Amino acid sequence: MSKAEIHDVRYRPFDGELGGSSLRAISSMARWSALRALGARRPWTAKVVPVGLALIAMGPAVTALGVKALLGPDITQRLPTDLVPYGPYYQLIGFAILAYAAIVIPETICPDRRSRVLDLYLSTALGPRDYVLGKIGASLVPLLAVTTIPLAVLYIGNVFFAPHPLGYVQANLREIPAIIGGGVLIALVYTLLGLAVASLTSRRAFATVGFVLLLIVSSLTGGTLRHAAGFGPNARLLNLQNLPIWLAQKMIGGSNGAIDKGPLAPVVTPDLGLLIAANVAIIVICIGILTLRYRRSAA
Amino acid sequence: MIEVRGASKRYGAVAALADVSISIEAPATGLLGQNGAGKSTLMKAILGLVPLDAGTVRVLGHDAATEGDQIRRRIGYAPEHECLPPELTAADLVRHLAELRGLSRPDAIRRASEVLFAVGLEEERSRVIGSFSLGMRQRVKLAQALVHAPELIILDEPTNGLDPTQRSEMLDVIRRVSHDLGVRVLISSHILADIRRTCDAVVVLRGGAVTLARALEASADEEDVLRVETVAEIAPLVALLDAAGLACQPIDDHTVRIGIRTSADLERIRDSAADCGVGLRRLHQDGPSIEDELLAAIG
Repeated sequence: MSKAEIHDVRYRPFDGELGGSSLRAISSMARWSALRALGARRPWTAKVVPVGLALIAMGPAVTALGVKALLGPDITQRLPTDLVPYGPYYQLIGFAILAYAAIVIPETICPDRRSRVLDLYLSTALGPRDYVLGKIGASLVPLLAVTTIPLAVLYIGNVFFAPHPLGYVQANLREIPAIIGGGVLIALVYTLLGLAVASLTSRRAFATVGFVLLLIVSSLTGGTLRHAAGFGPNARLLNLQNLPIWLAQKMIGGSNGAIDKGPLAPVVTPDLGLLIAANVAIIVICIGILTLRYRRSAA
Repeated sequence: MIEVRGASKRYGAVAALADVSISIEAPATGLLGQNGAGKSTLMKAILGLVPLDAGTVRVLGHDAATEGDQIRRRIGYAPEHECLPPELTAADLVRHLAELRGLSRPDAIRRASEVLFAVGLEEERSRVIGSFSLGMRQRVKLAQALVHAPELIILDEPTNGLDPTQRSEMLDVIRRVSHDLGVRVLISSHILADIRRTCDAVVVLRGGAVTLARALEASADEEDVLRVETVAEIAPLVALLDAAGLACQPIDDHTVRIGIRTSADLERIRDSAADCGVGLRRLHQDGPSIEDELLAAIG
């Protein structure tokens, strides 16, 4: 016999514990915002873009590993191990990364201003800093999956298909922190850039167009200064379309010397020190914009 | 509960608050005033969201200027304007805001159900807010303000835009919150009838200044004055009422002013008139009523 239970759902004073730290609020903000941006609990149309971009980013890794699997070990052993090299991989998936930052990241932040729910959030214990941290988390974690998981899958697949897996790991041990570090760097820079642009408007479409225009204008400006004004390769520091990707490639390339040798690698990149400084500058400027946009008085 | 001393706030040339000093202790207090009288600014100052130019606000023992986070943790707030994300369900939004206010995930789920039941939205809790009527959205705002069992809730114009039926239902819910659920309520409105129906005390603002602060029911030591007109000579009735301890001031042979404190005094006048065979022609309040006083204060 089944057992029935009667639950009393009427209002009563809350006798549980209220979390005192802002960590719970930040993680809640990050989780709910990320779920919304990824299309959770929304129609399937809202899921197409984030899922599609993640699949596109996985494409080269899956293809490379699939080719190895199809050709079999006899032919595979005669192929170069890095059929798709780690460094230039970011160039291959650059479109997916930038499209994610342009389309999905505004989804985490613009609707809050548009529906004015931001006022409601800031009337709770959640402060502007907590709000921004939550939104960074909501944008960073999914983008991190786009920038690191494909390379991680590729690395694991290469280990699996290598004639001597342990030897492959020993030979490419330094790639592991480089892949993680490069993925984090790219995700962080484009997360902050996407959020900074999106914080300037309440319309997702405007944020997307603004982000794309920023990339195009910066790329054109860098190219013009390099070729027409003779500023040399360091003029490419203005190229937001590739700046963090070049630095990530240097991180990976620096460990195995592959940078600038592959067909997809940039011919001449700015100096490493300047690349680091430029990426740090972008991060600082974006944090500054976000701080200014979400001061308490702005609520 | 709320202690405001010398609070002043200017926006350019406009004085939103001008040396406001009030003490709020009643279970339900109304902030009454025309649009632009300073009600919303005072509420945001109480929440610690608006820094004052001068003066202090203390709420539940905390200084709003320095301990706004502590205050917002202990009180609930429902803004006047539309501030709900249309794509979330009522249950998801209330649960999310519960987590932002420090509840754990299981507690947030349970409390969301309880408060939505309390405001009469138990059947609609799984519907997206975008499909709600204005009255239902106002209830969602009330539910999220209640979800962490605050000691005080602040409701900014909760009946704005509601039709008469929705308005009546909303006022009933608010009255129930303050008197049955034991949550203190501070409610702003520019509609006198709403405040009369839901509140025990009222603070009237005009041009940023307090023009009246009083309880809405006459206190035991407060005397109303009745003007009684009779058909016959009034002297026998005055004699009887004097003997009964009521203060009578004859104006002419047929008119007397009588001070009364309770409804029992009214019954005594009726019975005395019957006892001495003096017919009552007219009996009405002499001097301004509470409504007159409030309307004069609103301006």
